[in-house]
Amino acid sequence: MAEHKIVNSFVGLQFIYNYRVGEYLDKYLDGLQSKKILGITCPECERVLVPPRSMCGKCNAKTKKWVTLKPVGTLKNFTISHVEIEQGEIKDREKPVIIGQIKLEGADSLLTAKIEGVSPKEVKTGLKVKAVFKDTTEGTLQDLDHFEPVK
Amino acid sequence: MRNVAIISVGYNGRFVAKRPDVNIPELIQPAVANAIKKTKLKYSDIGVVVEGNMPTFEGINYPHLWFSDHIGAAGKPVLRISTGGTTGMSVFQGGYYCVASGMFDVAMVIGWEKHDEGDAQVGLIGIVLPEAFSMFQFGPDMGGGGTGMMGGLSSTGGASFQALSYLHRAKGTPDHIDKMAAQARSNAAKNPYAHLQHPNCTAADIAKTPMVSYPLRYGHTCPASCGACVMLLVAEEKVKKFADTDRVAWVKAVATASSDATTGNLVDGQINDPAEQAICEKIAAPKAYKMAGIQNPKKEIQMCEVYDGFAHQELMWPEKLHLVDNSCKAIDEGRLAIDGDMPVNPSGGVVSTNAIGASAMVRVAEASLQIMGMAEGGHQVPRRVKNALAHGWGGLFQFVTITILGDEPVKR
Repeated sequence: MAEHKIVNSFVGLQFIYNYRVGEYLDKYLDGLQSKKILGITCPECERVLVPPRSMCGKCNAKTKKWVTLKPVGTLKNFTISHVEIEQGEIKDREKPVIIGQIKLEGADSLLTAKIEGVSPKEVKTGLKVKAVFKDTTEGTLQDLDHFEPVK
Repeated sequence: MRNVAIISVGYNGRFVAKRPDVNIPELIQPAVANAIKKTKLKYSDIGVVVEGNMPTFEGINYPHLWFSDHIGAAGKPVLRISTGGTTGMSVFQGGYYCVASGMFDVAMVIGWEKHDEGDAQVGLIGIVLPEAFSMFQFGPDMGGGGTGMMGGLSSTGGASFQALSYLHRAKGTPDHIDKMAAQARSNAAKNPYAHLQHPNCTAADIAKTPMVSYPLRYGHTCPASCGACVMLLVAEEKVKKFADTDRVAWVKAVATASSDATTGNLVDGQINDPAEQAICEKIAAPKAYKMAGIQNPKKEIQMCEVYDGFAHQELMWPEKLHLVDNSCKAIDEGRLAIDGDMPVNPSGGVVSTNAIGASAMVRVAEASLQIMGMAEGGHQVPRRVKNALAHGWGGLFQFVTITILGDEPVKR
């Protein structure tokens, strides 16, 4: 029987996408660079969104008033990550990492970040946490390094 | 089936090459706001949102996951339609089906593209793969060597075959394509939303631009634009309630026809001649005219907006749509100009502005503005437009969409 032929197509192009974060996240990242967490308020329902976005979907209103939030909040939800993906391959982490969702004081949305300073065995929702920034900030999401328990 | 009217058109602003100041949701949102502003509608009146753009161009296949809250769609059905170049009109027709069927009284349709996020030619390769597999039966290899996917790994390469075949059929010359491109860019200068505006552009200006793939020059090809187009479609019985104007555009007919990458000619004649376009001429166009109740398109239709990614298509499509017998002759006689007897693309067309996922919808939007008498900046056709035709093509020239609009509803 004849061999079933296949097509191998290699297109030697680099896929480079430059996603603009938009003016609201631009300002949020500027805030992180100066070690501040910025949110924005919906003029109708007065909910505070962190990170900020241009529209409140509930009210279909343009968000308006910028607020600087206190870098403290409550852990509302979390997972413990045991694996990571490197170049498409799954491998075990050296040690598990806690990824939490934090409700900052005065915010109406949850912010997702790494949680350190508490062991996976002891972590639980309701934990009071504070933001820890990198020593040297660059205006990227990584500037907000992690949250840790308030002592 | 119910009659459906377009009661409002919104653009985000002028179409441009780059919008580094906004992200994708922020690009689209102002177009939504502008469309709603011109009506008595509230966000809560919108029953369904249909949206689309080119998949892979921005590398995002489900962008509505990102922007539903930005377009007034929170908690509502969002349908995504993506059919290549015809996307914008497929989205429009999807919204039309939603309202005509009686399922929804109000549909919002959104076509958009943000070309500066990615690489359109890289995106096209992903889209062209199904075509390339289909093309195996015609010979070209896919690797970029040899025939190199029909001349230079680009849509211009593919279109050049169509252009030369068209000129041969119409007994035209490349000068006619120059003339057509010059008219398009001059018209664009009268449209405040158009991207490439060149006031009083001449055929000689176009002839000076570099050759890309004979007979197509740089000046015959479309730009890559960023922008969004939004329209609000309303059922006949709700038009008075929601429209802020007496002049709305009624959808008289929709038609679509498809083929595989045999470039539109599987139904008739010589397979693989991309200038034959039998699926437009012999299937989609007659179907649309029948649904609209139009017997003599040349007389009953006052203007058209055709999808001209390349300037020769602005000559070819009006012929395939039975609006002009010979476009090369017609442009020599000035009949395709804004004040001619069959104005083609008063907006400047796709060759002047191409935010791909929006482009086929912009054809409908521009046709509706012509009927409403609301085309801004000097591109309004001077005589009263009672019926207008909008057209889109996509794929490797083998998808065609047609929408016919009128200033009054059809009695069904």
